[in-house]
Formats: sequence, structure tokens, C-alpha cells
Amino acid sequence: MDLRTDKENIEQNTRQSIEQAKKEKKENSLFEHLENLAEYTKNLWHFLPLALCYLDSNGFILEVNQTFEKTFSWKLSEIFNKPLNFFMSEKEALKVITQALQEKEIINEEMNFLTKKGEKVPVSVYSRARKNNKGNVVGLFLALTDIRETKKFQDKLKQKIKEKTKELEEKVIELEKTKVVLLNILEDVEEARKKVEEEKNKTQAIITNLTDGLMFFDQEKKLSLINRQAEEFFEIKNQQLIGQTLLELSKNFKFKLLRELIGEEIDNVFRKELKIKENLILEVTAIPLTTKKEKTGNLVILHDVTREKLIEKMKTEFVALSAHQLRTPLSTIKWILRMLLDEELGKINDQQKEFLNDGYQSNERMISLINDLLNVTRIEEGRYVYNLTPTDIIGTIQSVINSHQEEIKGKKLKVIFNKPKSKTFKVRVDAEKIRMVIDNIIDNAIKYSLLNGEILISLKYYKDKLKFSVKDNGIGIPQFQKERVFTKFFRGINAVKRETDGTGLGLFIAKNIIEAHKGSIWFESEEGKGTTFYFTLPLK
Amino acid sequence: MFFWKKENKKNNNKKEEWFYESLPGTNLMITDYFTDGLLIFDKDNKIILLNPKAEEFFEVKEENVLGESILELGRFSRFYPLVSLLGGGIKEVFRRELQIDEGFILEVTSVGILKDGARVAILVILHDISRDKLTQKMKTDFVTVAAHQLRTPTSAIKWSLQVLLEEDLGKLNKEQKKVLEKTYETNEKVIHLVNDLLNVAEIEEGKYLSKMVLFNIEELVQEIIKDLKEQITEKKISLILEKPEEQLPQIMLDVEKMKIAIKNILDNAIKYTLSKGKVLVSLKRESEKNIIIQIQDTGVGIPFEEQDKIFTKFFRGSNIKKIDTEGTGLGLYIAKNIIEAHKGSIWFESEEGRGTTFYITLPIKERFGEYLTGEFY
Amino acid sequence: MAKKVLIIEDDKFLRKVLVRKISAEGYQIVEATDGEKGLKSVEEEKPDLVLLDLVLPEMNGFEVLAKIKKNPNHMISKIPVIVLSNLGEEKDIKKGLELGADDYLIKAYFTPGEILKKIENVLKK
Repeated sequence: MDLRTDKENIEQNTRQSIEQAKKEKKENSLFEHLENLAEYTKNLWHFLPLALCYLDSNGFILEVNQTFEKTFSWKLSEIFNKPLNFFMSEKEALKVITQALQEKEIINEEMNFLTKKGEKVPVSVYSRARKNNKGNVVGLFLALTDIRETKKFQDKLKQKIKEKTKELEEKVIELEKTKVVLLNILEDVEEARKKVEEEKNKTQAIITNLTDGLMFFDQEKKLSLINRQAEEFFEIKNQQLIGQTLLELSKNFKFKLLRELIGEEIDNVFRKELKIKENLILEVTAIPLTTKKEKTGNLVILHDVTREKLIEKMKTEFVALSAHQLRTPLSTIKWILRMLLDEELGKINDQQKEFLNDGYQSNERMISLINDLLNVTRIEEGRYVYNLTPTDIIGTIQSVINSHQEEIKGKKLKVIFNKPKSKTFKVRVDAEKIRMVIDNIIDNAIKYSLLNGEILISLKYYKDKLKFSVKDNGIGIPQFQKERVFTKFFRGINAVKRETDGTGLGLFIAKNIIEAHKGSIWFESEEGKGTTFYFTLPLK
Repeated sequence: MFFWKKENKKNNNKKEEWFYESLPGTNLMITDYFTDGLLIFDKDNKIILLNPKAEEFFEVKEENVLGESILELGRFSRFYPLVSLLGGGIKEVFRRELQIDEGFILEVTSVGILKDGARVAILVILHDISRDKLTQKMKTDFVTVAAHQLRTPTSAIKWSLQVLLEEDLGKLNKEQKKVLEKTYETNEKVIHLVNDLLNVAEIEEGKYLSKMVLFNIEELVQEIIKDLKEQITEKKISLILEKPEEQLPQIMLDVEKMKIAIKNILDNAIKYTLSKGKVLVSLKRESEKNIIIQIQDTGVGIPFEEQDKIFTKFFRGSNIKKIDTEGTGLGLYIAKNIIEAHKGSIWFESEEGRGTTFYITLPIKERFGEYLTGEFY
Repeated sequence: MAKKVLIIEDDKFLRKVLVRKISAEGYQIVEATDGEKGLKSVEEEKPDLVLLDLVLPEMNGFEVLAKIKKNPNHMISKIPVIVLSNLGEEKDIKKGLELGADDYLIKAYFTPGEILKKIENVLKK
């Protein structure tokens, strides 16, 4: 033994001790380690908020964690070595185990787990087999998730969904209903609109087919409405005319014509013709509209009379032309007979003269008739235009008397003309027509006078009128005929017997003329004694 | 648009509500102020509106007839002509003249309003044309009256002149005789003119054809030829009448008037053909429907620039005045009207210096109604 | 010197009668049967008076009247014209007088003798 040995021994011993110590330490730390690990695992095991369960390879419970105990209310001691199918159905248990052994995952499968309280709690199971080195299964780990809450939640959700769905459905139904209602409304509106359109069409149809232009001026004399036809007549489409007075509208030439026709005042009802342009003549009717209390405006209606006017024109021309055509041969006859009667072509004896004269007179009558008839036509149409000029009536009367000198001499009549003594002045009349009247009356007086008769013609001026009278002492007018004297074609029977000529139109025309001058005409007569004709004319 | 809202005081379910924009400040119905009569019928031809003017025309009150059908309205004497015209189905007419009463004439226009192709209403618009008609009538009256009134004196003159010309009352020298003859001729012209004017006046009146009977046109033509025999012989005109072997069917004619028409044309043919000329009158069946009469002459013809005026009133060709100074210028106008009144037609071909051919067609089928109403003008 | 009268009238007979009557009084007569011939005669013959019918072939009487009265040559426009027509409508008479006719006579109302008197009256002026 040596020292070296000792040292070696000591070293060896130390080594050995250190190794021993290390070994022991190792063993100790290992142990500690193990202990720590065990502790750690245990803590972890119980810490996890997941219900865990460890089964042996036969499916008997060996370990559960605290969460398990809490969740399912089992104590380990109570369920140690109990089989899995105690808590689950056979089927489920079997499934769990087999899945675990097959290392298959059961995902989200809902199973039920028995609690201590006897409830079957819905759980979600996750299982995994524990294998040793050799690969043999030594146990099963189960993780059980209490899905009660989830389920509740799910159920609640489902419920909620159901509810909501129902709500939604209801809402949809409501919406459906609303839609239907709206559609109905729309349909009604559509119908109403169509109806309005229809009314409009009808209205339009009326307006169009009346072919009358219509305008309305309100109380302030402003144009309130104008229809399409009126616009067409005035050729003023699409212009803003509403609100303007007729005066303002008169900037347009055609409106100017209208205004001139109507005048400022359109308050009277009237009907007049207006030539708007070539080929368009309108009959304008103006009507003031009033309600019971006040005037609401004026309606102006425009009626196209172009065609009627054309027809009228044609007929008028025909009449004029007919007159001309008739007069032409009558002129020839007149002139020839005149020539013969005046012996310009040779002498004629008394008998020949008589016949020729008869012919001449007949011819003259025809000429007269045509003229009278033309006048009648004109008067009746109202086309008899009066041309008023200052006229010397006395001169006219005198002239008429002069023109009948031959007949007066022939019947040896005494004609006296009583003129007014005071200064004479001219009267505003239609000279030609008044002359016709005077001529007619004097002519009648001469014709119905007997030989050596007397005719008294007088003219008197009063403050507001003049009075003309012709008195004869001729055959007079029978009582029962007096009514008809001024009618067309009247000739007293006496006259007919006397074969005096005369178409019977003269007095009819005379009456029209005098009355057109706002005068009056009348007579007094006694059969066999004589007649006096009067007329008056107003002096303005 | 400017109709006013109608205050429907009339409590009648059958009346339609008329909605219009209301005119501010008024509550008036424009149809109340129309100067034309207005009737509105619904799709069942029942009356739904009768405006005041129409009430006046027909002498009925709107409230008394609302809802009635048009045929029911026919019981009112004044409505009857309208009902006759429009019928139960209310046909559409444009500006047709209708006599309602003596001196009362309306111009009728009816128009249907369609919606989606179906008729929903019909408007009947009535315009009073009595005054116009009266005026027109007066004008034709003038002509008629004048014509009638002139007959007597012309007859008197004719008679006087005959006596004078026969020198019963005394001798006449050459010149005197000549002018008296002229006077006689001229008076004859007046007589013709008077007749023609009367015819024209009748045409204007529109009531031209009177009695229509089935007549043999050949017979008519032969009668006319007979009447004109003197002139034909005098002028040594060779007149040939061509007609088919088979007798032509009879046709509906106003014999008197048709005679005037054809005579006018044939007379012209003879007048305007010089001595020894030729006139051919041929009658043929043109087709199933028509007979055609051809009157061809070898006369003076009608100058080209005047051909369009030939049928107008009083027109006389410039080249014939020398031949016949007394023509009235109305013959062809009258003839044309008569032929057209029979629903026939007339036209001509002519070359100045060579001759004229007039053609007249007349329908074989008779149409009674059209003939009698005289509505052709 | 004899006064010259131009008669524009298409009716042969009426013209003859007028010619007869007027020439019998010592007037010189020129005749024309239509408007155109009439105007030519006015230019060439320069009558002292014209008797003018209105219904003429081709150019109507109013046209002739206007052409005479509006003629730039004063010698022509001053020639008096008497219208002699059977057209008797007021508008016709008015038109005739407005166009410058010295008188308007309706044939049917006047005998040739009366017409002659009218001619004399006008020529006196």
C-alpha cells in the first residue's frame, strides 16, 4: 500500500464516491425528476378544463380528472374500474373504444354520458389509445366535452332560428300581402290612369271631331285656356300664350284680326265671320259665361266654315251669272222692240204697234223681275250692305218724280210735292236703296191711280226724324188684304184685275230697306178711295 | 285640356262620370255652352250625354232619356231621322246632312272612340246648317222663281211675235222681218234658258231624280232620235244607230231626266256637225254591270284647252258660238248630273276639226235606296 | 269733226243695234269683238269714248278697263269709258267705277236711245 495507491485509492474512492454520489444524485434527481414529472402530470391532469378519463385496455375506468368529476358529479372512487358502457350505451362505448384502437378520430359525434344524478349528458368524445414501446395498447384516453351548453345553445339557436325564420316567413307573407296590395293599388292607378287617358281621349275626340277651336278668357280677360284646334287655326303651336290678354296676343297678326272683330269688349254674345287666311274662314262665336253672381269669363268658339262659304260663293256666283245670262237675251229683245217701236227700221201701223208694245212691256217686266228677285235674295241673306252717305232726300224725290213723267202725263195725273220750308240738310242713308223705296212707293201710287188722279207727295222734318208720305186717290187696298201688303209676292187682287205690272216684290224690299235704316213704313187705305204710304227715317 | 268638373246632380246610375281638370274659379260644363249639339253613347249604344243644344234640337230633356238605347230614342219624331241615319249600331258618318223638320237641317258627324281595339263610346256632333241651307235654298229659289215667273211673259212674247211675223196685222219690210225673227229666236233662247235653269236649280237642291222605273234604253234613244228628226234631215246628217242583236236588259231610269241628258248630247252632236256629216249612236253591253252608249260625230270638235271646262255651268266652246248663238251653256252640266245621279259616268274624246265622241255608261244593277235618297251630290 | 266711239262687245246682234243707233247720230264707230282687239283699237284709233261690255271671251272687261285707265299715255287713260253690261251685282258696279269707268249701265235697263243720251252727256264734259 502505498501512498500512490492510497492516492489512487482515495481518488478511486473519491471517484467512486463522486460517481456514487453522482449516481445517487442522479438517481436522486432522477427520482426528483420523476417525482416532479409525476407531480406536473398530476397537476396538468387535474387542471385541464376538459373532462378526461383514462381507461385500461379493457375499457375500465382507471383515472378521471377533477373536471370529469365536476362535470359528471362522479368521484373516482365511485367509478373506479367501472366499464365504459356503464356510462354510455353499448353501441357508443364500443364505438369509442374501437375508434380509439383504430386510431381514428371521432369528430363531433354527439354521445351521451351518464352522470351521478342519472342524467344523460350530451358529450362530444375524443378518444386516443395509449400504446407501449411494443405497440400494444395499454390504455385509452378519453376527452369528453360537455356539450350541454353547446347543445342548449344549439337548441336555443335552433329555436331562435326557427323563430326568426317564422318571423321572417311572416314578414315575407306580409310583404307578399303588401306586394299584392301594392299591385292592386298599382292596378287601380293604372286603371284610373287609363280611365283618365280614356276620358282624355274622349275629350280629345270631342275636341278633335268638333273641329272647333276653343278659347277661354278669364275674368281678367286673360287667356286661360286654348285648345289644339284653336292653336292650329292660329298656327301657334307650343307657345306660351296663357295669361296674356287679347291685346297682348295681338302681336300675332291672326289674333289681331280676331281682336278687331271682337273689339275690346267681348262681353256680348255674337257670331261673326273672320277670314284668318286664304282657305280658312272661321265663324267666331263669343259667349260670356256667368254663374249666378258674377261673370266668370268669356268662351270663344271658332268654327271652320270655309267649305260652307265656298258653297255659298259658288251659289252666289251662279245666281249672278244666271241673272246675267237671262238679262242678255232680254236686252236684245228690248233693244230690237224699241227700234221697231221707234220706227227706226220702217213704219208700223197701230195694231203692230200695240203688239210690239205688249211684247216690250212683258220684256220689261221680266227684266224687272230678275232684279227684284236678286234684291230679295240679297236682303234675306243679310248681304244687303248699306252704304251710308249724306243724301239730299228732296233731290232724290224730285228726281224720282221726274223719271216718271211719261206715265204721269199718260194718266194725266196731278202731282204735288210739298217740300219742307226750312233749310234742308242731308240725311245719312243708303242713297241708292232709299231711292228705290221712294221710287217704289211713287210708282205704286201712279200705277194704282185712275185717270186724272191726284198724287200728293210730302216730306216733313221733325227733331229726330223725317217723314215721307205719298197720297193717291186711286183704287186702294181691300181690307182683307192689308195684312199681306208687305209680304213677298203680294199683289192686291185689284191690282191683278187691272193688269198692272209689278212683281209684288217692291214693298217687301222697301220694308226691309226702311227697317234696316231703323225707320218705319206703313200705310192707310180704303178701297176705291185711295192709299197713303208713309215712312220715317231717324235723324241722328 | 279644360273641361270642368261636372256637378252631377242627375242621379242616374247609367251615366258615366266625366272627370276633367277643373278650370279655376268655375264649375261649368263646357258642353253646356257648345253651339253644336252633342250626344254621347256608351259601348252598348245607350245615351249617356245630351247637351243643352241637343236638347234644343230634339226638344227633349237629357234627364228624360239618359240610359236609353238609340233605337228607343227613335220614338221621338225629331230623333227619328237621326236614328234612321245611324242605325241601332250607330255607324260612323262624316258631315252628313239630315233634315229634322221643316226648315231645320243638321249636319251630323259621328265618331267612335276605341280602346284596345274595342269601341267604348261614340260621339255624335250636330251642327245646325238650317240658315246656310236656307240661304242656299233662297238662291236656288231665286232661280226657280225667276224661271217660273219668266215662263208667262216669254210665252206672251212668243205668241205676239208669231202674229207679227205672219204679217196678220200688217206688212213688214225685210229689215223689220229680220229683226223680228231674231227677236223670236232670242225669246226661244230665254225659254230654253229658263228650262235649263230650272233643271240646274233642281240639281242644286239635291232632290233631282224622281220616278225611277225599269226602262228599255234602246227605246229611249230611239224616241230622242225621232224628236230630232227634223234637224237631222235638214242638215242632211247621216245618223246611224247601232245596237246589239240581243236585247239589252232594262235598267232603272228616271225616264224624263235621262231623256233630257241624252238629248242634250245628241243635240250637240247634230248641231255641231256640219251639213252632210255623220253621227253614230251605238248601244252596247260593256260588261256584266254596265251598258255603254257612244255618240260620235264628225263635227267641229272641242278645242283642247277648253276641254276641262266642258261640263261647267254656262260654258260654251269658243268655236261654236258662231254656229249656235243661242246655246245656254248648261246642257252638259245638266246631262252630267243626271247621268251621275243614276250612278253612271260620262266622258268624251275630241279633236278640233275632226269630231267628238261622248261615252255614257249606266249601271244595270238597280240600287233602289241610293236612287231615292238623292244623296249623290 | 265727228266723234269716234269704240264698241267692245262680243254679242253680234247687240253690237249691230248699237252701231246702228250711234252711227245714225253721226258718230264714227269702231267695233271690237273681244278685249285684246279692243285694246289694240284703243291704241290705234284713239276713240273719244269707249263702250265696254264686261263679259268678253278671253280677257274680261275689267282687265280691259284697268289697262285703259292705267295706261301711262295720258291720251289713252283720259278716254272716257262707259261700262255696258248685264252683270248687275253691286260689287261689279263698284269695281267698275273704282277702276275709273265714267258710268256703268246695265244693258237690260237701258234702250239704245238712252245709252246714246248717256254718251252725249259724257262727251259734253
